[in-house]
Amino acid sequence: MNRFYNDTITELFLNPRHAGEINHPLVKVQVGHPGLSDVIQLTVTIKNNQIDEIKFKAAGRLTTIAAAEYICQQLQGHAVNALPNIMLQDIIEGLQLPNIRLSSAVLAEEAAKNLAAQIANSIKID
Amino acid sequence: MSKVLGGIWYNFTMIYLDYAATTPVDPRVADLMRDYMTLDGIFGNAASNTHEFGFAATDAIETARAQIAQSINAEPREIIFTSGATESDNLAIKGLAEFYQAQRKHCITMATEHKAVLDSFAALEKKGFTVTYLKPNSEGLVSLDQVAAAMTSDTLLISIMQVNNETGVVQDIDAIAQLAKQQGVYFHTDAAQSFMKLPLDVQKTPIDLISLASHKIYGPKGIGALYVRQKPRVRLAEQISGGKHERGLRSGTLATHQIMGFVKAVELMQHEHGEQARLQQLQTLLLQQLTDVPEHFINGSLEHKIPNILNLRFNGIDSEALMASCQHLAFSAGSACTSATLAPSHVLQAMGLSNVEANNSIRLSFGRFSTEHDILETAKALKQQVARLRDLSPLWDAS
Repeated sequence: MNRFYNDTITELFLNPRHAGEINHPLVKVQVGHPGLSDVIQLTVTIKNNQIDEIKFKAAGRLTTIAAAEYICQQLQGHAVNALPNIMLQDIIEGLQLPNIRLSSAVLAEEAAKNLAAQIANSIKID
Repeated sequence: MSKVLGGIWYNFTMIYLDYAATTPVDPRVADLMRDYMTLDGIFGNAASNTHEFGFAATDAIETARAQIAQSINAEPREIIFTSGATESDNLAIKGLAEFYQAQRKHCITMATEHKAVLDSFAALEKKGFTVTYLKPNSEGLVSLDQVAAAMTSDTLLISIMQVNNETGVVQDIDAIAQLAKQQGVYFHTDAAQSFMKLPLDVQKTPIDLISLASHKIYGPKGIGALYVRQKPRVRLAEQISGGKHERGLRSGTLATHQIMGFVKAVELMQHEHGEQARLQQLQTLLLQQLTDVPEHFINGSLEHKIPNILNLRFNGIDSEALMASCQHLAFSAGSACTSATLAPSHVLQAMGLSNVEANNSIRLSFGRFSTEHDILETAKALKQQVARLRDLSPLWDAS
C-alpha cells in the first residue's frame, strides 16, 4: 500500500459500505467540478425522521472516495433534526488525512453541509 | 514472498511492473560482484599502483571498460565510469558547457527529458546560457525540422534522449546526431532506458556524449558510464574534483564490484537472444487483454516505442486510486517521480495532455523476470479495478 496513506483511509477506500446511488432519494446533492476537481454525490432516504439510507458516489482521488464513505458513516441513522455538524477538522482527524490531500476533506465537508441544508429544506416543505 | 527488513514488514508478493524505474539485479550479476569485495577477492583500490591488490583491480576494471566500450563500438578510453546516468547527464551537459562557454551559449533539449537533464540545463540558464526546450507532438516525438529550426549560430549542444522513461517513445537520434554534426554542434543522448535494448553504434552515429546506466539492465545501482568521443575530441570540465581518476574527468575511487556487476549485466544482455521479441509479445498480450475496457488510450507512439514500457490512460480513473486498488501490482503513475508534490507528469503535459488526463495515466514496465502469468494477472486486476472505480463515479454514469 502507498505509504502516504494510513489503514483508515485504505479501509474506507477499498471496502466502502455506502457506495452506490439510491434510486428514489429524498435528497440528492453533488459537489465538485467535473474536469477540474474531484466530485462527491450523496443520495439519502429518510424514515421516521432519521436518515434511513445514505449512499455516495465519488470520482477522483482515493482520499475523496474515503472521505465520502467517512461522512456517510457519520450521518447514517441520525435524526434529521439533529444532524451532526461535520466540520472540516473532523474529517481531517477522522481520516488522519495527509496535508497534501486536504482538498478531499474540503469537498466532503461541502457535501455534508449541502446535504444537511437540503434535508432541512425538504423537511420544511413536507 | 514477504520480508521483515529493519523491523518493517514488506510485501514482496506483488507483481513487479516498474522495470523502467529499476530492475532487480540478475542473480548471476550479484554472484559475480561478491568476488570483488572481500579479502579473498579482488577488493583493492585500482589507484593503488604499488601492489598486486591494486594491479588486479586495475586489470579487472580495464577489461570491463573495454567490454562496455565494445558494446557501443567505442574505444575503451572513451568510457568514463560514473555513479549512474544522472551523474553522466550532469557531467556531459555542465561539463561541456563549462569548457566551451566562451565560444557558444545556446543549447537545445526536449521538454520531455529526464529531470537529470532538465535540471542540468536549468543550472546552465542561471549561468547565462539560453536553452530551447522542444515540445514533442501528441505521440511524444520531436521532428528533425523542429531541431533544425531551433539551431542558431550560438548553439553549442543538443541533448535528446533515445528512449523516454515514462512513455518508452524512441526518438530518431541517428538523424538528429547527423544534423548536429553537419552544423558543428555537440550531441548528447541519455540512453539510460535504451542501452542494450536498441542498437547504439558510435561509429555509425556521430554522437558525442552518451549517458549509460547499469540498473536498468539488471546490473547494480550506483554505477553507470559516460561515453565521451575522442575523435574528434570532446572536452569537458570535471564536475567532481579529487584524485584525477577517469582521465581527470571524474574523481573518486572506482567501485570495482559495481563496475564488474555492470559489465556482467551488459554481457548477459548481449547473450540474451529473443528477449526483446518476448517483451513485445507480453505487451501485445496485455493490450489484447485490455481491448474491451472502454476509453483507454496509449500515451505516446505505439509504433516508435520500446516494448517494455507502456503508458496507459484510463479516462475518469485517478492513477493513484487505481494503484491503491491494485494492491498486488507494483507500477507507477505519471506523478510517481515527484510524489512528494503529486505534480502531473511533465512528460505527459508536454505531449499536450491536460492535468486530468495526466492524472488518469499509469506506467507499466516489465522485463526479464516478467511472465505471461504476470501480464494476465495485471490485465485482470486493471480491468476489475477500472470497472469498480468507474462504478463508484457519479460522472461515469453520465458519460
